[in-house]
Amino acid sequence: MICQRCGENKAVIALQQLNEAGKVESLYLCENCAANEALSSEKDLVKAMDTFSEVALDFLTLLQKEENVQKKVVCGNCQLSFDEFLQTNRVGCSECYSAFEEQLVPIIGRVQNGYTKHVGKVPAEVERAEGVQNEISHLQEKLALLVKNEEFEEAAIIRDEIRALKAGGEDK
Amino acid sequence: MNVFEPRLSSWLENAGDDDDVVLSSRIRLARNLKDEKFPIYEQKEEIVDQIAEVFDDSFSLFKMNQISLLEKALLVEKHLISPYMMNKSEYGAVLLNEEENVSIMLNEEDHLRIQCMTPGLRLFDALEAALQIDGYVEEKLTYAFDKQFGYLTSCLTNVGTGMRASVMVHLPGLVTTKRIKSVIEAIRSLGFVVRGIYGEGSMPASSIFQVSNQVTLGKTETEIVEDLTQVMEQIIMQERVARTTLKQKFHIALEDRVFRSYGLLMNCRIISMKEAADAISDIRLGVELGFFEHISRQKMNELVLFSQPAFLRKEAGRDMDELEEKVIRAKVIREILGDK
Ligand SMILES: [Zn+2]
Ligand SMILES: [Zn+2]
Repeated sequence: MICQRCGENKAVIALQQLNEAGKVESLYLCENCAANEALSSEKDLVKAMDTFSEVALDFLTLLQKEENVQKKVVCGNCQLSFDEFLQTNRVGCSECYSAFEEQLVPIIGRVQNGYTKHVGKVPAEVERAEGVQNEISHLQEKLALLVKNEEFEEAAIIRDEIRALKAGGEDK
Repeated sequence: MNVFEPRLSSWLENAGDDDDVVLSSRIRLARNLKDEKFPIYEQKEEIVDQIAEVFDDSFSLFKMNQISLLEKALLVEKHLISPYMMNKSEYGAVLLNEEENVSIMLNEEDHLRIQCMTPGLRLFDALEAALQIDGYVEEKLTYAFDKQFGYLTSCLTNVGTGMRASVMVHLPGLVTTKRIKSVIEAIRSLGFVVRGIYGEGSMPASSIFQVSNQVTLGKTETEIVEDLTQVMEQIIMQERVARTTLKQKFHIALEDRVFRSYGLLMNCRIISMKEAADAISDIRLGVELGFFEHISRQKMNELVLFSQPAFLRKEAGRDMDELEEKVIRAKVIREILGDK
């Protein structure tokens, strides 16, 4: 669905308004236009922010339903379809996050105030693995340079270090 | 294990920082095991045993299909399990420590929900305790984790840190001076969620509110706790100002209200949850303002906890109808208040 104000961007939110006939009308807006709409009345800002997070999830769910009718996306691990996710707003397993990544990222951004990247605690195991991986890449760069400069003796030492790291040994 | 006996959990019994306003702080971490379906779609009993094995015998395991409905309700009233776990989770279980300030729900909406409670405003202590348990589990089991999205949870509103930090506050000053609405709006605009406890709507019975973080992604655990602590410090200040104003400008009216509520609870023979909660709130305020020397804060927590439906049935040793419940509640309240 396209934004009804600018007619360019994708609509992400529905604003409920009363028209002249006194009937409730939905105005579908993109993020920019919705933000402008909210800013235009300073007094309603707080209210608009509240509405944003509360209404957004439901509305996004509706939009996505519309877009995903044709292509049926299913998680290969737990067999949950994206349609089923939309009914419960709960994913079925950790693999769902990669299976539905394209669809989930905008929803996550919406319910998480625009954030889509984790910056908090990382499991110790992941942190260790990451540390080792970083060290390997660092050594590989060094090795390439040594080989280029034909310093083979030094290069052999580095190569063994890389092998040891890859084998899972953390000792030097 | 005497968790089902009428006694206060440690976080409601001991004193904490700023506890003239803050009742308790809580940190909850949502975690799931890698490669397993999330329990909302499929519950496995083995997962409970697998996780329980990680903990030593300082924790007691209670399986939902092995305890009675009344016992489950007692745990809900003690805030040690969720209503969802009581109603929906067939293979759900909870691990509790002796002090009852750690509750680890298994097979709730996520495989693990690690919760640590403290009295007063002590979110950092609760966070430290929760992370310690988290690290302990992490050594033995592999969590569902993704570099971009963090800890993977069943609901997208928990993904990332999986952390919900919340503080329970008593705000009778702001409610009475009618400033609560603007304060709640201000808190919400800062990205925090405010809920009324023990009652529905924006004006809950007992003037008790719960403030918690909305966002779980894009901020570190420490940042979330720092932000919430700062917001709470502001609220605490404002509540104290409101109480001082009430005491100075409306002293006799305030005293009248507090002592009427005291008279009500000391003499009633039939009382509903809502009426009791409102009166308890008045007396709690009176205790904080020094109107009662013989009543402690702990006694207020006992009144709230033990006047709930499951505790009344436990006390009576049988089920009862609505009227009888109100009669027993009045009796229990009179006994607690009258007991020096
Ligand atoms: Zn637009
Ligand atoms: Zn899945």
